[in-house]
Amino acid sequence: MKMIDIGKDFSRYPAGRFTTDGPHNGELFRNSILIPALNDEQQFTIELDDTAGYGSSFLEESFGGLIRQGISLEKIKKLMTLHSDDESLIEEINDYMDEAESE
Amino acid sequence: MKRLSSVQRIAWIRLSQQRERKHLTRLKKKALSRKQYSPTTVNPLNYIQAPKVFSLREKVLHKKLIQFIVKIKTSVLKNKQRIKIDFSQTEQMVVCGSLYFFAELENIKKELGSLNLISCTCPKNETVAQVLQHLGILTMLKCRCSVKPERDDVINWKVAFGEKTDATKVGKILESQSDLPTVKAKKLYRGVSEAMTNVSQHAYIEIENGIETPLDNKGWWMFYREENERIIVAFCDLGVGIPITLPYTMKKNHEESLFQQVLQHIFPNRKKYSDGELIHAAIEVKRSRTRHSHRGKGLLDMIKVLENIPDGELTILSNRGMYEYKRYNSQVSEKHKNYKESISGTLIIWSLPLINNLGNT
Repeated sequence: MKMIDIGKDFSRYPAGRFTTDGPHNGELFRNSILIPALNDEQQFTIELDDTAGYGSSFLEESFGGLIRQGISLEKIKKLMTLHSDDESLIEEINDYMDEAESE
Repeated sequence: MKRLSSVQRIAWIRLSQQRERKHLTRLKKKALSRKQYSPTTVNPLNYIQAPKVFSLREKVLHKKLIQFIVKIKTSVLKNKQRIKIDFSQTEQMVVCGSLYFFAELENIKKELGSLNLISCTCPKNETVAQVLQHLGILTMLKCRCSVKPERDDVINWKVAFGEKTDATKVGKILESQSDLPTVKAKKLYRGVSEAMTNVSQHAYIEIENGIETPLDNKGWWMFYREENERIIVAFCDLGVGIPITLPYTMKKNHEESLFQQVLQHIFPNRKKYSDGELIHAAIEVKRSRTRHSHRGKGLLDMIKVLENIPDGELTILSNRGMYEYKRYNSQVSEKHKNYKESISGTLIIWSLPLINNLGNT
């Protein structure tokens, strides 16, 4: 299965929501990495642990933003697996996608 | 009297002229030097006494530091007057006050293009001198002080600053602290990177009749320090402040009515709210409404830093208000207060123990 390591494939220091905020923002991660991976229609795993950390803006825009971009939660859950030693991080990301779906 | 020959007469005239010229030059020089030192014509160097303690928490110290900064800004930015900061009475540099002073100096530098109008005396207190040297403040103020930062509690101060939400330097500072457990470093990274995002999105805007106008001179500053087995991280911006942006961001996030309800619930029978009360209520709104709004979760991230960390503290100072959140084991205490003077910006301070059972992995 394909592996996307945020720390190695995007940035070790992700921060910010929009491209206007800074260089390693959630909007850029979603558009340049997540959406192309989902468009490949192949299952993949996101490795979350190789970064310095995450702010809620980055996570919400990256993952909640997928739903607002018109990608179904069903498709995301079918293709994308989240991996982290911190269970609360995976829970938080799932919450963002659920919230976006209910908006 | 002996008659002079024509050659001698010419030589005598030349010598007289030469003497006259020398005399006039001497007079001119004398007049010029008198003019330079005359109290009526010279712009005298304005000495500004720095406070004994650089801190913003206690009301008295807060007032003294703000008055000191206002004096500097009025002299330099408004009157374009040269000043000399006198650090001779300064005995203690606390993180919050030092960061605020550093940020204000950087802001003056941005506005004027240089800090040429400000100089300073070398601090008498050795630790204060080492801190100011280590932070680069003495160099910024062109002070030829030979002190070398050597003390452990001085050289562990780390500085980061920027304009955009680029947390690379902050992340590197947090990761390079061998004493700092990864869990805590990641939590602090969450808080600081979210504070940065807030600066980029809300802090530097002027709001009039619902219209946003971006302000120039954006910026944020961060200090990291280990002190008495605790980690202190302070983050500062000199934007319009949370109490100004709050009503607007609440409206934007459709949380306006909830915000009013919370305000009335916590502070009943009031028509006006202080800055401290507004910050306290905003935190309460974010806590009670963790769902339904995909934006505006940043304030909650400030508190999330302390999750599962006993003995953690968060202080938010914004304009005239202060909000404090303390967690001792499972007990949480919150309080707010107000100051007479505004810091015209926002300062967030986290204080965490270096070692504890839950966060030490």
